[in-house]
Amino acid sequence: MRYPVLPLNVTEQLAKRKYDGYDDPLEPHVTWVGDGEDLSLTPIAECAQRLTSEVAVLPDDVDRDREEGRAALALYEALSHVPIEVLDDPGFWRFLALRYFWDFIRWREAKPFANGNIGKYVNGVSSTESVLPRMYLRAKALDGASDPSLAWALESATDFWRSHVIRVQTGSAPAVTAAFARSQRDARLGTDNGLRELAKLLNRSWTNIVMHVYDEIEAAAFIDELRDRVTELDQGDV
Amino acid sequence: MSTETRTIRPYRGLADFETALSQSMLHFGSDVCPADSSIAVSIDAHTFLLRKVVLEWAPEDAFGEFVGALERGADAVGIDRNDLSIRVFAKSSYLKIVDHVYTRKLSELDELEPHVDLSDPRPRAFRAPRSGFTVDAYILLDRPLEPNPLRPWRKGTWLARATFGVSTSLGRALYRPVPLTDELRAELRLPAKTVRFVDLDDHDPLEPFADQPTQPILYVDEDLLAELGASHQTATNRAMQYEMALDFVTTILYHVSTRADDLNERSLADLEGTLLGELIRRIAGPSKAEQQALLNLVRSDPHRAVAHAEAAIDMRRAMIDSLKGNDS
Repeated sequence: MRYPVLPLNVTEQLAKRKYDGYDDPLEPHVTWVGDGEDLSLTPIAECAQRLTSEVAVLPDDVDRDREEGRAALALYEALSHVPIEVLDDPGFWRFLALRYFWDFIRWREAKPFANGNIGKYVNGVSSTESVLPRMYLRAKALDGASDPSLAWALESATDFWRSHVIRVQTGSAPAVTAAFARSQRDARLGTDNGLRELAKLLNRSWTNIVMHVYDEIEAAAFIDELRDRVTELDQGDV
Repeated sequence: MSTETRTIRPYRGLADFETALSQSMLHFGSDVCPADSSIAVSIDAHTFLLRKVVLEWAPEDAFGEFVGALERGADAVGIDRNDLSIRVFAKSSYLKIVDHVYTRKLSELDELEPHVDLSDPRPRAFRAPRSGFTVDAYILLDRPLEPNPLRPWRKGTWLARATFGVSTSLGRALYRPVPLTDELRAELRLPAKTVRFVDLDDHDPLEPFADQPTQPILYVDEDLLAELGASHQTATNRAMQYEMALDFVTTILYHVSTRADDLNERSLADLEGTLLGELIRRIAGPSKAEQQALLNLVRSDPHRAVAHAEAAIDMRRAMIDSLKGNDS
């Protein structure tokens, strides 16, 4: 499979210039790597176009994390034909970011972009920070779960998804991710009001327990148990 | 920064299980990775995708003893063999893939083969040539039991584990070389004649590489970097590149050694996937004992850890070749 990639340094330079209004051509910097047939980019381009036009009409104060969750499912579907070895290449994510998803990413990260903080959202270096791979991971974290729409079921949940799901082992276990998200949806704990403690207990549990063997019911029972422990700890502090 | 205390595993009777798994080996094509080790392979993406991944539980003449140890282990821990299984998971870091690739109940050990081909069919985790993969083999509790002191009771609890890591030459570079211009010297507040400078650029060497948005940068004078690029086959060039690599390693080791509290609360396992963990692996080699010894040196005598790095790079050979003009 042949697919397009962009180098790291060039991507960051082009992104800065793009934000400043320059429309430098991408093609001189794009390299097609691999062998065989060219990867079909059409479903990805169509997905980007759809997402970009959807967010363009949203009010300015919309919950952008929630929209990211909704878009994550669409992106995941659009990438379903892309081999893992291609998705494992940060250069491919860089190409997608600048070629198709620039407007969406600029909308999603408007605040950091305005502060000149652009590179990490498009460079693909960290799969949990760069916008496109982190969206992919968010949808993948629920792949096979009973309700993938949990990816956008929580309001203002940037910290939940980034810090407590996709950056940690929980994000690799759809049953646990679903149970955790559902538990937050149904009885939300604030970041400083139980969520951080619950996430800490859950992360620590992974040290001894391989939760990949849990189904959603077992995972939900375990999350409930940890929530009770957080409540007990909280009451013990008073 | 995490200040969590480490979780203790307060179970008894696990020695047979631990001994059994410690003999296992992972074969990646012709490369072999012992238990609780990691190997780095120089490979192209195409070959990576074709190579078989085979788990060998024990050397052929010791397989009977391996099975016997598992049977004794179940008796020692007091859990029915039907409630325990060997399970193997394959992981890849960038895409956070975890694939469950093998299960065998301990009550079915007569059906266990000495070798298990984990790559047929090939799971997603073995399709990520840049990230490489980790294989974790566990003895796992399959169902919940009545809570009982010093005995695992929660479903999914592992009783023994062996881990195997395979990284590739296609993986992420540990640092990014960037031409050092006069403008950058001014921006970085460096003297006008600075030739090289390591900038961590918000990268934390004690946190997992895959979760960080920045890579450390090795700034190199722009003219020098251009010359290095133009004459990369000479012995002098090679020696200078080694020297720069050593500068980079030295900077990282000294940086982490100044963070004693952060460093001391992390075990070797905690450092897996971090810049420091990767440097330790490359300097000390695959042996966990050697890696632990090096980590201890980083904590107590970082300048000695630098000497180990110099030896691992084989700086001596590079310098002598450079002086003799041995361009090979």
